[in-house]
Amino acid sequence: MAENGRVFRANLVQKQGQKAGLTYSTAPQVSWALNQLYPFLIIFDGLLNNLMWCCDDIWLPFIYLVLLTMVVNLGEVLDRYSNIIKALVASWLGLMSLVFVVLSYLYYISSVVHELKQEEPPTLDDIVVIMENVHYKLERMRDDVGRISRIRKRELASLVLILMPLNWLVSTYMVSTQSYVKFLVTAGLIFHSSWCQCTLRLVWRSLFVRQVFFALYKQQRTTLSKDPISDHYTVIKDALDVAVPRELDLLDDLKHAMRLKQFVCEAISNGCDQLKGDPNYHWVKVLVVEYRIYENQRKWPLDGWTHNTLTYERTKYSTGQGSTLSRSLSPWEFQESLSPDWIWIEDGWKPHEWEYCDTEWNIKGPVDSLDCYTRTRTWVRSAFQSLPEL
Amino acid sequence: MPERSSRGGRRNSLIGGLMARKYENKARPEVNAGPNRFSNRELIHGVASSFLEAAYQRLQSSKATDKITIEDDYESYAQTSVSENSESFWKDENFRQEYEFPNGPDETGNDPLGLKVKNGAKDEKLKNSTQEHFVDILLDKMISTILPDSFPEREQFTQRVKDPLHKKRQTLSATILANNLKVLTTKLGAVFELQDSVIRLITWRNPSGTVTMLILVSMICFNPIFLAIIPLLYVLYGIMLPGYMHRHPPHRTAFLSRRTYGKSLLVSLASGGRKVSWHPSDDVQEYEYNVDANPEEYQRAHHIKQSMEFIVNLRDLQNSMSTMVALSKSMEKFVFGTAGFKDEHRSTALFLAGLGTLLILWLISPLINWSIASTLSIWTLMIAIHPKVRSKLARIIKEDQVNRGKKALEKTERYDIILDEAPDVRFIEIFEIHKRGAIPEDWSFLKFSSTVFDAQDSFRKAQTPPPGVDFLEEIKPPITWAFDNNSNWEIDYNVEGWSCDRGLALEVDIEDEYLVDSSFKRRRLTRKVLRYANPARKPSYK
Repeated sequence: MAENGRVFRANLVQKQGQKAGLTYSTAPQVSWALNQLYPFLIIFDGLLNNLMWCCDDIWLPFIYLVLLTMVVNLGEVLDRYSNIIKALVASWLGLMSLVFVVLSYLYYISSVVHELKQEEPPTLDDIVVIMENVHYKLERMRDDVGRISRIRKRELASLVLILMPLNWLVSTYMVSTQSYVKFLVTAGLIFHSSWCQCTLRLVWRSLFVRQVFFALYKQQRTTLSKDPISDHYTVIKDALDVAVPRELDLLDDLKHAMRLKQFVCEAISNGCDQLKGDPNYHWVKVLVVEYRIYENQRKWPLDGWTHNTLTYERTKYSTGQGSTLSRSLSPWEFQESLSPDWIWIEDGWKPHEWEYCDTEWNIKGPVDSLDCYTRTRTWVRSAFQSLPEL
Repeated sequence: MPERSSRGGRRNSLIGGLMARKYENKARPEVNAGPNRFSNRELIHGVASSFLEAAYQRLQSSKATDKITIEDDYESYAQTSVSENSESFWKDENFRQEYEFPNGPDETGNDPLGLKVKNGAKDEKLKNSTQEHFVDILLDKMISTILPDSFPEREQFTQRVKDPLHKKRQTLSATILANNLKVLTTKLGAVFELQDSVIRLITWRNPSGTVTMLILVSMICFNPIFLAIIPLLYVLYGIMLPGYMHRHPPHRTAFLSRRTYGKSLLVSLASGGRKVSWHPSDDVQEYEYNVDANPEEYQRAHHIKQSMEFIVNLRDLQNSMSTMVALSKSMEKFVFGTAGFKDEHRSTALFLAGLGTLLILWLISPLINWSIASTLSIWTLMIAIHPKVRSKLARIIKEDQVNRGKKALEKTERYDIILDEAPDVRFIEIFEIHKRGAIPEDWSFLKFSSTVFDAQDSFRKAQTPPPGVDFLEEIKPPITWAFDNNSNWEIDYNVEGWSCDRGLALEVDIEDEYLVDSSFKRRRLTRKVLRYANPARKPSYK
């Protein structure tokens, strides 16, 4: 708060929108080419406007959609209607729609050309603005498609394999080809509208939808979780030479392990090269590894951080790296399940700090923030195992 | 329990008092203005709201036992929480940091300010209460002039005012009325906007919208379930999704170019006039330079816009109220005029035409594909009222043709409808009263009166002549009745009969057609009167 009690707020960064004039800095040939391109750009922009439903007149795309679906009717009219009059009416309507769509497209083009002739020629900036517009809209449309296809890219082949028979089944037995085409036309025409995009985003908020989605496209998650857990360690020293006093062999297993641990620790920190040649010591090879178990939590609006994660993502505890994460026991259960030839070096599990991630577990930083929805931390404990002497 | 019984007792005593006042003495009206007396205003509160809520009240009282507690609960809840709720509703859970300031500086630094606010609120409250008081006095005066002190249903309404269930409803108050008007005016913008857009649709100012509407109506005609689907679609995509898009914009900024080129065939073909308003859709934002560079300017502009909107809304509200008044007047004209057989020719013709249509529709309805018929008729109608088409149609259908049609219709009404029902027949009676003179057989004519003027008559007791006229020609038939021109006054010779009917035969003598008592004799004259129809119905306030 400022000294007079009023809240002081910073301003958002604004695009200034001021650009240097392009007229003198552009080659005449380029300008000429752009000028030739201008009508096409405008027409293409109009087409994109209709696809994205962002024209001034928001009802026009809807009317075109209806007309196009009626044009599809033209195809198989006689099959569907037993009544000849109905069939005639339907095909007449379809034909009229086709004529109207074509006519209005031609009319649009001719009106654009006509208006451009009447107006004074465009400045270079006008052309650039239209180009930016077109580019921006194309980018948006690519984003719309990308939001879905990015997830699919890896499974594209399997997707095609799954969808092809499904496609065939649906179009052969469940609906007529005509309805199928109609559906495709409708879906294609409304897909890039902001309503459809927002609907998809809202639908994506549903857990059920996500579960169905991941059940269809992310099968490897479920297959991986059956993996043997004990393999998930990081090797620190694959064959560490440790000098062990000979009298250690006389001790029973437990005490032997206790003492052995001391020497292993010593060997890890300092090495034990100075004992080389000492007759009181004999040498064993030891595999030293570090077990890492990730603890995962998700932020829920009302409960805060809980272990309640989504069914298709990481569970409460997980091991592994990257995409090969798999379900795991908790560290303390895990240490019980470990085979007895492993000997722990530390006394207990050590946690790292929490790392906060976005909803797809991409690490954002060490502090909770608005864009953090999940967090993870690593429990670490290292162990060693005597390798059998060769 | 004791409370309730005492309340009941008070009510009883109150009703008793009112009854007593009504029937006992007319010359002493304002004496019992004790604590139990109701002011006219209180009564009118009861009357006004009981007219509105009579049905609801009845429902309530039938369920009174199990409903009261819930309603009491709700009332108390509503009373305590309304003020906070309406304020806190607009706070956004995602922006707590905006309104939950840290406690420290608020408690210490802003304390005097807080006090000031409190005092201000107090002042405001005081002002409000005095204002209300003044306005209510005015209202009371006004009501007392329009409401007679002894209107017959007063007890009934008094009871309603006293009803405990009733007390919870808001009473009539000019301040509440004005306040509601103020609040409504600010919120009705959307309604007027809707009204405007409907007008724009009908007049083809927005041709693509009109065509869309027609397509939707056709869809409803062919599949009535769309009647349920389209409102749901509107709620989802017309209300909810814009809300979502406002909170999470899809970032589809359109770089508006200098002008848009090209025309749509549909629009230039079917436009009925310039489209007045442009609807900016929420997902495409105009490129705004430095919106929050100067928040105060912005705030001021916003304020000006709001007050402009208020005034425009108020004007629209007034206009729509005028429209409603006009509408109710024409409704009244229809109900009490055309449908009330005021002009019997026209009403009969209308009824017969309606009956014919009804029968035809009933008979041919199974033979018609109503989906196609209604779709075609709606498209035809909308195309016919298109401004361009309409003028062409008007040129085709000449004026004199229309006039000729009107004349033919009038002729049909006049000569094809026969109004020859036998009128109502009744008889009126009058008594010709003679007074005995000094000698027994000397009678002098006194008056034609509608009373028998027997010994019990109050006028006779007061020794004044009865109300009446001196000549038979001066007698007029009762209101709405007319004399049968072919009938004359006839003397009733069955004296015994009519005197028996009035319980007079025992006390008096009969001489010829006269009934004679101590100092008067009278004979009964009757005449036939006719009436074609009762007067047409009238609304209660006429």
